Amino acid sequence: MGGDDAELVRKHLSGDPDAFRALYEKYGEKVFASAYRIVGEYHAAADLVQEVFVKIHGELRTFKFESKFSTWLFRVAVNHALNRSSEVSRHARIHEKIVKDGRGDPGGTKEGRPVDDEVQRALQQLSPKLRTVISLRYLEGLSYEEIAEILEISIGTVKSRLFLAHETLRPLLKDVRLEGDA
Amino acid sequence: MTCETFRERAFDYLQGTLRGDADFEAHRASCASCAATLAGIRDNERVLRAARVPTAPPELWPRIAAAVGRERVVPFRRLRVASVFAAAAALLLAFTLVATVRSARRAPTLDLVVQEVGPDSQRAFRSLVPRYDDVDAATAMVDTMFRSDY
Repeated sequence: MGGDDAELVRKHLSGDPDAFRALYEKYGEKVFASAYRIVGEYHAAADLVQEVFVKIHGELRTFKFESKFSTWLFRVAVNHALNRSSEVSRHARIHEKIVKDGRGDPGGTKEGRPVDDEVQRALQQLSPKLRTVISLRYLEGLSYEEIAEILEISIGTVKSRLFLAHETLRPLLKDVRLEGDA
Repeated sequence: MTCETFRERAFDYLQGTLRGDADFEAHRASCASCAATLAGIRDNERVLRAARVPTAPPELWPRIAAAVGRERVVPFRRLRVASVFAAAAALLLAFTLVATVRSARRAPTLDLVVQEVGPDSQRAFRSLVPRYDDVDAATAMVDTMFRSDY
């Protein structure tokens, strides 16, 4: 466990009111980014992050200091996101239909650059489990070992899921152009 | 090297951690399918790493702080003090409940007293004293009895 994180957790447990906020400030955006990639909807991701931080606030007392805090946090967040993803996907499909029907944007999306939107659309074609490994690998930049520990699967399974995800993404991303591409 | 082994090692190769990759390179040079797969993964990775996600809404922390404020963590050392207060409060509550029940059981209603002793203040007083905790309470009951229409 990272020294700073361990210290913040201990301070939180001894009643320091600023320690939990410091943990949020360090990891809130990262958890939000992963949640957004997994559930695919902006406001649902925000709700999910709120639920995750409230949950860990209550459960930090049971934290054993045997793993890194970040690993534990991402495990809680990913499991929560996977549990919620089917429900959110159903709402996202309804939302997409409303937008396509020209009935306006009910506020579930956030416009980004074209490449961001294309990647987000492509990722929604993956299963939640494949989206999760892609998100942890390329968004969070985690190693295969860290992903395996968070998801509690073998490194071989991480790589096979990544391989499958890339096979699905290839036709969807092949025409995406980045800034600077000819 | 088989195509399966090539695929198993593709991610290690791409992140530069594959040792003794001569076999890997030889397979890539000889297998067009695996070479295309590797190139596809590399292209995907470039796009995936470049993509950004929106930032979290600024009101997210205030919402979390409000939610966790309702179940604020109490350190263990404060919990011990709190448990003493909680035990004392429980004891006080139990004592009050017992006293109330006993008092309700002992104190006869005015109707019952009148039926029992009739319009005789001396007998009423003697009858009521043992049922109340003190003389003043019995006296008050008798006063009430004889001030009323009984």
